Amino acid sequence: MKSVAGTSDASLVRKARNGDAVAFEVLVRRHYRAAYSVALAILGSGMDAEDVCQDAFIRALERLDDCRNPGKFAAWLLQIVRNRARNYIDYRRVRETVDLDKVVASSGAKTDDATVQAELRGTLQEALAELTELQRQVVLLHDLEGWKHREIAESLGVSEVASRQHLLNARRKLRELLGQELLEEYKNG
Amino acid sequence: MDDDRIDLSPLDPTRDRAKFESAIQAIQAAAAPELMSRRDRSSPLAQLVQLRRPMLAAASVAAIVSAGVLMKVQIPEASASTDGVAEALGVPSFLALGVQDERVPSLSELFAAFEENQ
Repeated sequence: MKSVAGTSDASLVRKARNGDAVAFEVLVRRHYRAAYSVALAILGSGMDAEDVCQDAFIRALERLDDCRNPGKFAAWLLQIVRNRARNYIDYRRVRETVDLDKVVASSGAKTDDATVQAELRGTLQEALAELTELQRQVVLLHDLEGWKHREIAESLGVSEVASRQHLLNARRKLRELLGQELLEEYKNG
Repeated sequence: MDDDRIDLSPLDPTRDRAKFESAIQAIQAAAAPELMSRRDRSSPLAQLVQLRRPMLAAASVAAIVSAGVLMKVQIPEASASTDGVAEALGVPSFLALGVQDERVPSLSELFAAFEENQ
């Protein structure tokens, strides 16, 4: 695994096209958080985002020959994630769901730390739900995944200026919703 | 700008290592059949099999074109007479006639021919 960890996406994609399982696994590990961020931004539920991520990676593998620019695999993958997430919303409309994150948080079966984490996750997800889908994608890709505005802009098909503006607005709104105290609480612990 | 960053780490799917590894394993397991199929398709034997059809098609076209060309070309009939060849090689006409008739020339005929060429 270490020998391919620093390999470019383009090279990994070429290897994965020939069925190299290690190369594919590196691609999954490398881009899982970005894929999850986008799925979460669209779906608002961690459990659903995980399902969509898995589905999107398999779909991406099946269609890997369609990836015309393997160097831009991440942007191509995120488009698949968006499409799958939107399809999932349609599917979810006809299916009654229970947010398992909340069930876990209220079950009392977990340790205190896990319960706190689940509560924080729930609070953040509720706050994120108040943003627009674009704002959620920008703030998650930037603040969680660490993408640059240039990369976000390219992936979302917006300008870098627009990406910065969306981030600014998203953060302002999240601060209002979460309150400064809660944000400090995150930082401390 | 980064000072304004909001800590979204509780949402980080890689934070819970066990859960993350289990998600990766689930993806790898679901991807296994497709990866195996891709490995099979990329083997040298599979590549040859894939090439077989286009190669057969190309060979068929080449055979049809060649047959057409061969049928149009008129091959001139070989001359039945050996006179032209004998003359070109400088063989005396009586010798050529002798060969045609399967007759052995006499010694005097050979001397006469030799005298003529001198």
